[in-house]
Amino acid sequence: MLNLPKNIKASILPGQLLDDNCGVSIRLNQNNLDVETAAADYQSRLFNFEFEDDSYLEPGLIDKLERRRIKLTAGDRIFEIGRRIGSLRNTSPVFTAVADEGLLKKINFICGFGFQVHIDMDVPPASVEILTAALDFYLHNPLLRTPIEPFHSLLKTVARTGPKFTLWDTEYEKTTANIYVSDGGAVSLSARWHNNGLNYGSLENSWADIDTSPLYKRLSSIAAALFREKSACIFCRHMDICCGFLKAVDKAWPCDPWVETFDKMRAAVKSAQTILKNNPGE
Amino acid sequence: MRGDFSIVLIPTFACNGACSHCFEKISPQSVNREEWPEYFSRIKELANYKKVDKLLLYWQGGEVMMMGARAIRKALEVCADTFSDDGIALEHHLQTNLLLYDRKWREIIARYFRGNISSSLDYPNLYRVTAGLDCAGYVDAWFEKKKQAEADGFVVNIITLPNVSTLELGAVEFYSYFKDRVGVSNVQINFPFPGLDSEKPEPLKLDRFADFMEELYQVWVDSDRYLNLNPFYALENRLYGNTGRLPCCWSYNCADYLVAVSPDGDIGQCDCWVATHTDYNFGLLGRQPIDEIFTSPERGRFLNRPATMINDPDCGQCPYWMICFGGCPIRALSFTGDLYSKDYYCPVYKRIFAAVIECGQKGDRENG
Repeated sequence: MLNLPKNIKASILPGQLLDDNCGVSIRLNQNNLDVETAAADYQSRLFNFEFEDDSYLEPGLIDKLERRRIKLTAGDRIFEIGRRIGSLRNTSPVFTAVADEGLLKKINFICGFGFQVHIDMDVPPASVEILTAALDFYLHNPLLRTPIEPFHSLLKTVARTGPKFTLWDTEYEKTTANIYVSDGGAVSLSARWHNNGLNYGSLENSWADIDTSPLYKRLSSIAAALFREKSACIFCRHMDICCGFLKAVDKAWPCDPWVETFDKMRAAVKSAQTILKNNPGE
Repeated sequence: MRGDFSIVLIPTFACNGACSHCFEKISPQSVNREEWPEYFSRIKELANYKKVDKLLLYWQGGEVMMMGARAIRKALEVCADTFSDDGIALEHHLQTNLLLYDRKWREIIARYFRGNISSSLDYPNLYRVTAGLDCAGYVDAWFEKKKQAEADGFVVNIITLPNVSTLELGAVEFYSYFKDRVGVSNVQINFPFPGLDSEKPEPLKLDRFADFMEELYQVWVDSDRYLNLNPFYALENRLYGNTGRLPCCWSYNCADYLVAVSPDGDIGQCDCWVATHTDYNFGLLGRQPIDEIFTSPERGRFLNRPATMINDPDCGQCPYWMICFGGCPIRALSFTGDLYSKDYYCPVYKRIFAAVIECGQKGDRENG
């Protein structure tokens, strides 16, 4: 048995880690939408449900998720949520949206209901303009009342107004808090690591095996590893908020649009700080 | 899910008015005295289907007072009896032109409408008339009745439609009229639209109307917001207090929480639709199962509107989407013939939103 520490939140499929003590985030998709059984199986260990596809739009399904935290994909059918809005308001949803041509429209639509949006960092953005338009919306839309991640958390780091977050925190890839279990029983940090063949081990291993695995040890001290490996990331001006996250799995991952977006975010913070410095009463 | 649901009750299409800008199809059609129990049992079915805690019933016409105080009292009693056993709270609202108000209505309004009357008055009055009263005579008669209602202890609230002459008079004059001359506390500005076969009201030039509304907002702010002037009052509450409900034209989808019921049980989106755009009606209460009415393709057209509007190039990128959602369906259809077009008043709304937001931001600065 893996016997994960209690403070770990494991992203699993229904039926996995039934005898463990850790918290769980249960992945659902059109092949398994039995939320009642999952909720009964894991009870207080259940942290949230994650939907891997649009199946949450099945009639009546959201009604079964009352008072639950749910992570939903903002795919092509996202605009259908208007028909489920009464039920959705009884849950705590966070929508994950890919940075494609429809991003701003999706953000506008989802935030119009007061729900949170999280830009999917696993998928390379279609263009820098798409990201900067989303950032501009986050920074300047006076009607916005809900966080858009990762901007919302990273802004605190950049402005030094709150806890220091990096993308490893916002993307749920903290070795001390997150574990991913694949459908085949491989244990990894997250889906993107597993999908690239990078696993800690498997469900056959013990936690002692996992936390002494080379990958786990490297990821547990990622900043030190980047320095040791003389990674280009250590020279990046956004090391404090990215800390090598974007290129961690694939060194060729195109992070330029994000770099440019983070530049604009820092410029906006600097500008706001200058205004506040010159107008201390405000 | 439990919550509120609103029904615009239209117990009659009869009206003593002959207003040239009215969108309603006036006719003698009314609910008969013996039909009330059936009528309200259907309304109750509807409320149960929607699983509501509270039902808001907006009594409109036609002109409700054309039915007579005795008939309406009876209707309200039947309504109360019908709902007495299932825990749904009822909240009645009355919309009337007031011209038939007399003391016979006193007990009804006090008891069922919590002493509140909603009426209509335009400034200047270009369109509101009756068979015997021209525009000026109508206003005089209205003032007389308003005075009477207030003497009976009631609060009269105003819905007003700006017209071309309103814009010529300007915001200061308009505001002063309602504040000082009419002397009411609650005024709601509605955005006019043409009826099906009517050339009235004369369309407002959007840039002039936007100028007017922007100026009116400033006049209102400068008067320390003396009146509860909507849409400004609701908009500020929503934006800065996160409270209250915006006018229905700026709700995500009016189809989620509102229908209108005609005297014969026809169900449509609201009073603007049910008699005049019958091909958009959802069904007939009492003749069809409720779920068939609420899942009808006709209602689906309304439910799908915001999801369609977000794909409009302007709406999808619009910074005000979160309080507008493409605006009002009747104000889209009436001006363009297309339900899935933007509300005609989009440029006016944008100017209003910008003015209110700018004022709030300035206020925040001034308050430190």
